Order: sequence, then structure tokens, then C-alpha cells
Amino acid sequence: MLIEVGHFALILALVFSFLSVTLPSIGLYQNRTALAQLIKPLVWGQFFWILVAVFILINAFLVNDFSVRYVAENSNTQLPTLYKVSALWAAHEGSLLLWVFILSLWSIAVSIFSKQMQSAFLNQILVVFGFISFGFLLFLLLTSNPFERLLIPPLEGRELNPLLQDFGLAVHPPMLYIGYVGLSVPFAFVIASLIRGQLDSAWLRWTRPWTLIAWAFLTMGIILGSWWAYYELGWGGWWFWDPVENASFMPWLVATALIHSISVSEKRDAFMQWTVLLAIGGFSLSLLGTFLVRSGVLTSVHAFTTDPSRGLFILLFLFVVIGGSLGLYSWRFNLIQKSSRFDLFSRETGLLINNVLLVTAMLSVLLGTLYPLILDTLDLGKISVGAPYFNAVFIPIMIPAVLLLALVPFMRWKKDNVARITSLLRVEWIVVLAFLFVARMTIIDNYYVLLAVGIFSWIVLHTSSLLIKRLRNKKRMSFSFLGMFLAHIGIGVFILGATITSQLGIEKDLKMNSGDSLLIAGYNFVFNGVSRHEKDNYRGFRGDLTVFKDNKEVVRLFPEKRYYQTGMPMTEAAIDPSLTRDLYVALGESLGGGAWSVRIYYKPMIRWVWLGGILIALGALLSVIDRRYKFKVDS
Amino acid sequence: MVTWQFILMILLSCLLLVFFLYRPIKITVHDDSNITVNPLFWSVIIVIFIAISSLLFYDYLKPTILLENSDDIQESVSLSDSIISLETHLKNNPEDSESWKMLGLAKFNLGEFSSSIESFEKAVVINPDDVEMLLQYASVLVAMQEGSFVGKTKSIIDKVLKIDPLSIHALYLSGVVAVNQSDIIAAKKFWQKALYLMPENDPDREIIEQAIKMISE
Repeated sequence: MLIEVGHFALILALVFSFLSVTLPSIGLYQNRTALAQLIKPLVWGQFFWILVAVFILINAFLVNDFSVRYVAENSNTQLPTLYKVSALWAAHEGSLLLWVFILSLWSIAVSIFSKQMQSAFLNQILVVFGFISFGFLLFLLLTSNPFERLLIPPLEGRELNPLLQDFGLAVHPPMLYIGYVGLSVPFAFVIASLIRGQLDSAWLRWTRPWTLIAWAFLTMGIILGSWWAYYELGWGGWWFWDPVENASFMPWLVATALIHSISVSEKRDAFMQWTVLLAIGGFSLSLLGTFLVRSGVLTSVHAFTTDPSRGLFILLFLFVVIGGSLGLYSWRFNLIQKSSRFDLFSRETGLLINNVLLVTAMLSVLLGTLYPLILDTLDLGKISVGAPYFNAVFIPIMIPAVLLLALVPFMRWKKDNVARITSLLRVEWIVVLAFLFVARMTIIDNYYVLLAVGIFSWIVLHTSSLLIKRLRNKKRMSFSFLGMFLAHIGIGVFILGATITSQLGIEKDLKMNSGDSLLIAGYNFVFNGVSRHEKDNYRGFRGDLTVFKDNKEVVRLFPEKRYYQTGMPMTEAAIDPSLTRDLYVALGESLGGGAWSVRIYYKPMIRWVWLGGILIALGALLSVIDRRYKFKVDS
Repeated sequence: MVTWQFILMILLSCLLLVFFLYRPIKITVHDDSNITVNPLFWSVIIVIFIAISSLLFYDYLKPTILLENSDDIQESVSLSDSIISLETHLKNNPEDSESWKMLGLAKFNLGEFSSSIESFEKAVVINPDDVEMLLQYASVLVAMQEGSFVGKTKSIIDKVLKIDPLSIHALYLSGVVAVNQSDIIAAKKFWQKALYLMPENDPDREIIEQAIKMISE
């Protein structure tokens, strides 16, 4: 009966979400306070019932209730407890439940931390949340019910996909979803402002911290996904331009543009229309990503479902949300505050160019992601758009953007001139050029690496120079500034790590017998053989390699080949990590006669990729605590 | 089926909203709305709406809930009830191999063997590579042939092993087939492979270990 309580709790959450759209709207329209103020209990009630449903489903996993189809298909009695809990979001239905749960968490957070906001405006925002929640709960219950039961429950459940039996799965999806769904906050703010017809810069001050939090989580989610793919998939890669990766990267690019655009709109009353469009675009891309993953149009590690009815539902919802938002935008277009004037050479222009570049980059990713799908749908053949396209199109668009990123903070608002910037930064430019010249002459012969080193030193030098100037002028060191400093340095760190690891990394696929060795980048990998290995719910083989450098033992690595109950083989790479390089070994197949196929990778500076991501996310979180965003009344 | 838990949940929901309708949350700032509402009228509307819409929606979703109260064995639906609901379902969804399989199992449990075989055969036609189903079909055939692993049973097990060479169940059954054909070496090989793939605490290990011991003697 407990399962049916969970099921009914989800239905009550749907009813609450419906009421949270209708009752407060009547209250707001007819000026009836008691009805409008009901939105908060409705939001809390909705959160409570979703929480009940989540707990009951987790409990079903923990007690091995295989009468629930979702549990039977994704868990079994042998599964370790941590993965029984994280199995909640291992497949389509549970992921959707997590989606609505996080959405209700965001709406609760907004209702709690926005007490100083104009009441009617806050209620309107929560109504928008209610609408989104209603759409997703309806989708969940009609097409993806996690509480569906089995007529004859099996005695044992199926194996959770071994790829997902990992700590990374326990943290990557919730982080990503917090960011993904968090983009609903600026969207809700914008829609509420459009409905109320109050599109001044006041609402922007409320939006920015929420957007920054969502962006920080989205960054962490993407970074965690990349880290997980690196050590779990056994290919040694950290980004594959997989359509589902792109689905989370596109909202990230737009959200990056949005936080900068909000900043300009808030401080200078400029780009208001652009900001509104970005807020709508960010959440629309979130929904598009959900459609791509959930509809089954994509085949990937992440694509859980192939049910077209689900795709159709999300497509319809997508159409209503995007179409409705753009319709509202065009209806209220004249009310949106017009930009104040600024010169061609000014900080506003710099930020605008960067924004345009970010959106163009997003469009290039969108094209590469959707083009094969469109061709396939129109029966015009199957093509695959992979890394060569994305690297050729995306990177050239981003190079000017990252160069500008370092310059724009030096520019003055409204009006500046080239001569002032040139005289201000000529020392930095000379230092970068001299550094590059020396680097080219001495150690770097790869032009891509030289470019990455140039960009890194460009960003670090300019950003540090900005910090020093502030310290020298005894200007207040705000958290907002420190956040920007950290995030921009993070971009530089990421670019350097990503370029060096992809350009200078070494990969060897070879057949090894016990006693064989291989010398890579000064490291001598000696293969000591393979032994049988078993643990928890899998059995398999464990390789043993000793790595030497200058005849001294550096590390022993034990890559594994695992077989889970389903018989699905899994490669568990062994990694010796460090800030300067990773030594990465993956065990392949047995080739007979004691020989094994072994993949050995030397990955210079790969940790910088994730370190950069962490710095970016930390920068965003640091900006949030700036006192400028303390939730004060706008009088 | 409406239970006291559902009524309690509806009551809780209604109480929350009615309470705040009578005692609205204190207005924060800048609120100019002041027209009061008739709390009794809106309370009635809310209570009726929550009760009716939630129960109706639950009732609408019921077809997807194949078993209503399986947590409590005493409340579980009987096998014959299951067969009726499955047969009704299959009339409208004749291509649902999972339901044909479940019908086959249910009929087998009721002792309707030939009818059970028919259901399994339909399931196999629709989904010929479903390993789990093929193994269940083979088990039903064995039971009907009083433990004999000849003819169709053997060919099904061979097919399963081709589809999934690491299926523990298929390896076990292949071992039994080999013993039936007096091929002790092959039987031992199959069972040892199955043992290797089985988890350490699998209760079926003992059966296989005993079987290996027996044929070794």
C-alpha cells in the first residue's frame, strides 16, 4: 500500500500545482489578497507531496520492492545501498521525478528568500513555477509513472547499468539538474515581469544571484559529468561532444551570456531586451535538452527512453512554453525599457560582442546537435557530426570571446577610447608577447599549445593586473569582483589544461604479456600480469602494472575488467593523478596465452580542465554573497 | 480503490489550504490588494476540487497500475483474476510480448500447461531474443516433460547461450542438458563457468556446487 501512497502523493502534487496556477491568478487578477497569498502554502504543499513520493520510491529500492516496475528494472538485492539510492535517478522515470523535485526545491527557495520582494510580483513568479511544475508532473504521471506496478513481481530485479554504479552517478545528475532546472528562476522572473508589464531594472537585481547559483551548479554538473566519463568509460576522454553533453552545454553558454547581460542591464539600463531573450532562451534550451534526452531521438549513454509518446508530450510542452514566452515578449516589447546610449568603444560594446559570440557558439553547437536529427527525420540520410566539426567551428568563435574577456573589465562604461586602453595595458601586452616568443624559442613547438599558453597568460596577466590596480587604488574588494577574478582565471586554467592534454597527450593500445614494458613520456610501464578479482556484485580480472621513472618506482596501477550479473563487461581504469599529468591504464580483452590488450595513456595537465571548472563555479558562488545582492527592499 | 490513507492525505491537503485561506500569510511589502474573499465559499471549492480531481485522476491512471495492493500478500489479486485482466489487456494489445509471457507463467502456475505453452509461443514470435523469457519458457517445457531436457527445450537453451554466453541460468541449464546426454566434462565446464560468474552470496551456488560434486564422484 505504501507504493500507492507515493503514487497518490504525486497526484496530489499535480493537483497542488494546478491550484497554484489558478487560485493565485484569480487572486492577482481580482485583487483578492487571501487567494493570491495562497500560492505559498500551495508551493509548500506541492514540495511536501513530491518529497513523500521521492522517499517512498527510495524506500522501495532499499527494501527491494520488485512489484514496482521501475525498481525491478533498475535494482536487485545485490546492489550496494548507495547505488540503490542513486538508482532513483538512473533511468527515465526517476530522473523526471528528480527534475520536478528540484523544481519544487527552487520554488521553495524563491518563496523563502524573496520575502522583501513586492508581494504581488513574488506571487506571480511562483505562479510561473506552478505552471512549469504542472506540465512536468502531468508528463511524469501520464507517460513516465515511476510507481507503475508489475502483475507478477520477479523474485530478483535486473542489474543497474554497471556504468552507473559509481559515485559519479550519485552526484553528477543532481548537480546538473539543480543547474538545469535553476534556469527556470530567471525565466520565471522574466515571465512574471512581462505579465505584469513592469520591465525596469529593479527585477534584475533579484534575478542575478539566482542565475549565478544555477550557473554554478550547472558548471559543477558538467564538470562532474566530464570527470565521471573520464575515469568510468575507460576511453581516457573528458568531453565527447555527445549530443546529451551538448544539451547541457548549450544552456550553460546562454546562461554565461545572461549573467553578464543582467549585470549591464542592472548597472547601465542597457540590453534589457537582450537580457529578457537570454532568460527565455536559457530555460528553453533546458527544456530542449530534456526533450532530446527523454524523447529517445538520441542514442547515447544518457538517452534512457525510446517512447515516442514521451517525446511528443515534451515537444508540445516546449512549444507552449517557448511559443507562449516569445508571444508574451512581442506583446510587451514596447514596455521593455530601451537601452541608454553608449559609444562604439565602451564596456557595454565589449560585453555585447562577448554575448553575441557566446550565443553564436551556442548556435553552432545547436546546429551540430540537431542537424543529423533533422536529416534523419526527413529521410535524407544518416550523418554523424562529431568532434572535428565542433572543434573547427566552436573554437574559432570562442577565441575572440576569451581574449575580450580579459580586456572588457578595463574599459569604461558608456564611452572609452582605444588610446587609453593601449597606454593602460601596453606593458601587459608586451609581457605576453615576450613570454610567447621565449616559449616558442625554447620549449613549445606545437602552435595550438602556444596559442593556449598565450590565452592563459593573457587572461591571468590582465586579470591579476586588474586586481593589483584595485589594491593599489585602495578600492573596495567586493565579493562580486573576486568572483569575476576567480571565474576568469578558471577559464584560462581550463583552456590551458584542455589544449595541452588534447595536443600533448599520448595514447598506446598494445598487447602485453607478463614482464612486457612500454616507455611513454619518460615513464616505464611494466606489466606484471592479471589475476582474478571479485567484490560485492561483480567478478572479473585485475591487471597489475608498475610504473617507473628514472628506475624508481612511481606507482602500481591495478586496472580492472569487471563482469556484473548481466554479464556486461566493464572497464575500470586505474589512474595515478597529479596536477601536472595523469597516468591512465585500462585493461582490454584477454588475447590468449597470458597476453592482454592494454591501453595506456599519458595525460598532461588534464586535472586543469576540472580545476578550471571548479574555479568558475566557485567564482559564481562568491559573487552571489556580494552585499549588492542582499535581498533588500527596493524603495 | 480509495483507502483511509488517501482520505487522510486529501484531508491534510485541504486543511493546509483552508487554514491559510482563513489566516492569509502576512503581506510582505508594497501590496495594494485588499479585496477580501469569502473563505467558506473558497474552502468548499478547494476541498471538492482536491478530493474529486485527485481521486478521478488516480482512477484514470489505474489501468497502468497492474497490481493494486501487492505489498500485503493477503490483499494480492488471485492468479485467475490476473489471467482475466491479462487476457483483456492482450485483446487490445496482442503485440505485448511481456504480457504473453506473464500469461504463460500464470497459466503454468494454475496447471494449464498446454495453454501456457501457447502463450509462451506467442511471446517468442513477437520477441524471439528475450533471454529471460526464453529461459522461463524452457523451464516450463522441462517441468511439463517431467524434468527431461530433450527436443525443443535443448534447442531453446542453446539459442539462449548463443544470444548471451554469460547467462548464468542458461549455463546452469546447459550443464543439466549435458548431464542428460552423459557428457560429464561439458556439464562440469558449463557449471564452473556459471559458478565463476555468480555472486559469492548467491543462494543457488550451493546447488551448482553440489551438482559438480555429484558428477565428479
